[in-house]
Amino acid sequence: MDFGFTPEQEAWRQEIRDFLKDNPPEKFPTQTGEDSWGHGAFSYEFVRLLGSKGWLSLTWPRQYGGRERPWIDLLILFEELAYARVPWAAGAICWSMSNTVLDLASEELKQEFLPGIGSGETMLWLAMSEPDAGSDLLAMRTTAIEQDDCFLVNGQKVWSALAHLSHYGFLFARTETDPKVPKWASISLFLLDKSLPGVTISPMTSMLGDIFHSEVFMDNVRIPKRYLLGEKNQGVIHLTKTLEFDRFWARFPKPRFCQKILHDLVQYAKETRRDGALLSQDPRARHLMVESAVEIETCRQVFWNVGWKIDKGLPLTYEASAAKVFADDMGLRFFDRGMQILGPYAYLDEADKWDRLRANMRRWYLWTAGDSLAGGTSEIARNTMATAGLGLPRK
Amino acid sequence: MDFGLSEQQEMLKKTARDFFIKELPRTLVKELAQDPKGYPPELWKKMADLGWTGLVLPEEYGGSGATFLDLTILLEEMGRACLPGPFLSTVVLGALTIMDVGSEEQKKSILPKVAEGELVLTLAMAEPHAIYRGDFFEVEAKHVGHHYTITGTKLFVPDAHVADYIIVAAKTKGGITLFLVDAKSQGVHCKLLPAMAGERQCEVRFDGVKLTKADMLGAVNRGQDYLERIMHRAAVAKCAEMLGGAEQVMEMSVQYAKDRVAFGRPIGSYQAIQHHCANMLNDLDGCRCMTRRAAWMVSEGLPCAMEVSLAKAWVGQACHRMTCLGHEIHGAIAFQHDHDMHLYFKQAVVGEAAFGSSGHHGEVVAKELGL
Repeated sequence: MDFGFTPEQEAWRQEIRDFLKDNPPEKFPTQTGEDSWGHGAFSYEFVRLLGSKGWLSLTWPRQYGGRERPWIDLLILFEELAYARVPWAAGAICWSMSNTVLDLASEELKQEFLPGIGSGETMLWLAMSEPDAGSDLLAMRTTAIEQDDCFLVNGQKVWSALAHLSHYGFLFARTETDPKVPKWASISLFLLDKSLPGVTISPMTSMLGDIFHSEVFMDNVRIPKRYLLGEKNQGVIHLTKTLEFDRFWARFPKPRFCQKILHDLVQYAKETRRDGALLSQDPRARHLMVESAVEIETCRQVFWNVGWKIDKGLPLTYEASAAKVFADDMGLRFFDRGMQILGPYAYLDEADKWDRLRANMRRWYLWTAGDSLAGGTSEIARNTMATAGLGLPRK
Repeated sequence: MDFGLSEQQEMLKKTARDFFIKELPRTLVKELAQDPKGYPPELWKKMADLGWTGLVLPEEYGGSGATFLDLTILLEEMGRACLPGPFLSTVVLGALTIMDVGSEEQKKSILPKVAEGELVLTLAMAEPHAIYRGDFFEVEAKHVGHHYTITGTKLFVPDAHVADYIIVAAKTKGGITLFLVDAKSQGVHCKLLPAMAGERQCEVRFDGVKLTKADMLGAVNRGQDYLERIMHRAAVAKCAEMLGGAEQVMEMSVQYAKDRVAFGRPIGSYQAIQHHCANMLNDLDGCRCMTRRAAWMVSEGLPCAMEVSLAKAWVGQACHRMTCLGHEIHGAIAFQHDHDMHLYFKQAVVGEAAFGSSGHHGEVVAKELGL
């Protein structure tokens, strides 16, 4: 056992910190205010800067512009970016999808897509859920019928995160419509160019009042055959082998991000007087912060444990689902505690050094209403933990 | 970074598990709860023969020179087996303290006998008006002529009733000082306290116990620093025991959920039970990561006040949640004395309070956060 980092890993961490000091994330223009990880934004300019440094393709093979760095280095990068709250909404998810391209795509597709993804020019979104197929994903109805030189796609996706800012959809569609074929052997995976005729992106306004997700309508869209990812009708197998880890990657930054907010809350409590005493001396506020510290750091260690397993190439069964449940439960409690600590002052409208903490805390709190549903509901994830992880019977 | 066990650690874990399966059936654990001593000396001897009481001691004192981290792997299995008795007291509170601050003479006279399994040690710290805060201690060592005289009452002293030596943290002029007290000294009075999980805790009264400077452990007035390190080791050791217990609870509960049929199906096929199991799994993984990281830091001699307290606070609460769910899954049968589940339910609540409750460690976390 060794829970430390090597001098090289520490130097890498320092390199990232120096970069962030030279390029303060808050100085970058942003294209959307909707974001659960950053200071409330996504910035093309910032993401392209990461790309120009080769950090969006850190672990890829050299032949695709990567640096062939170990997974641990990527995890260190994610932690540092999370702690600095950079404007990179859904960055980790996009990274996870690009990894699937590496795994599944033909050489031709890799050459076509990876340079753009690695430079931050090309962004992917996940086109999976449908109005009547969320947790029951295999009930999806969007079809992709093979004909001539293309797949003809008709249907509708929903909850496509950042589709309005992205370029290509990571599309799941039914390629086998014979009801006698099992559902798991009837779905395929495609890269959907959103500029193709017949694709309509319709942004959805969330309960926060702004836009993160879109509906995607596909009306006789002709996807060239070469945009099929992996094997036809094997999309579900690919899903469990690769995209399952979405749940892990998308949330790996979360504990570190929450730690930064906790540290801000501690500072706030040390500088804020309520009813004649510093908030940091209020037993209830202290308790709320301590409980958060314990839970956040435990979550962080559980994620590192999974990351270490991935780095070692160890087999995973339930870990990505477990990490999802852990992080989303943690976040739900943490942001509630954050609102309790701020109390009615959360709604103060004053330009002072805490105004961003207040505004963000309100947003983050609202965001938690969707956290346990994103990336597969926590109930489905618990089912996976119990069956795949613990071997409990499905029936 | 490496979250895995070494080959030797895997072997130690397996040896220990097999040993306890053979030597310590849960029926014996329950019998021992009624036993005045609280543990079987024959088993103690066998553990010493396996090299466990000296596992973490250097070879020059008859030990095997293993690390503290290795020791916690053994403690995990002891927790899993619900081993009663003075192992943690003797090795973690006693021998490691002597290793840490004792004189060469003290090490030579005590440690080889610990490794042989011939001595039981413990440490007396808490008092009626102070649990872990030395500045509120009332037990005092008065310096009179060439002697020290210790007077006062210590509480929750584990295994003092069978200890050969008790390390006592006492107030001295200018701080706290540790003393190594022969438990048979005149003026040492020991009374057993009510127990919950087969543990043995005592009230120990020191009635003018006469000591010399040679009985002092470490330097005069340095006790508070020593106690901090002792507490780190003890809290992590307790976490390791609780982690082992939690692993057993997880396995028992999942097995029961697979075997027990209700409404024509194994109850483990119902989502209500599956989700209980999933919640236990996350609590357990958290316990393992936090305990082992803290153990590694203690083992490496790194500053670890924050990490130890985060671990103890998590493990204390998580084991409570896990054992509650374990009972829930087992249903009424685990309420029976014959069942084993309740051993862990009891162990969890006793463990939470030992070597700093979640509240105590939470306060450490608050200070480390800067609050």
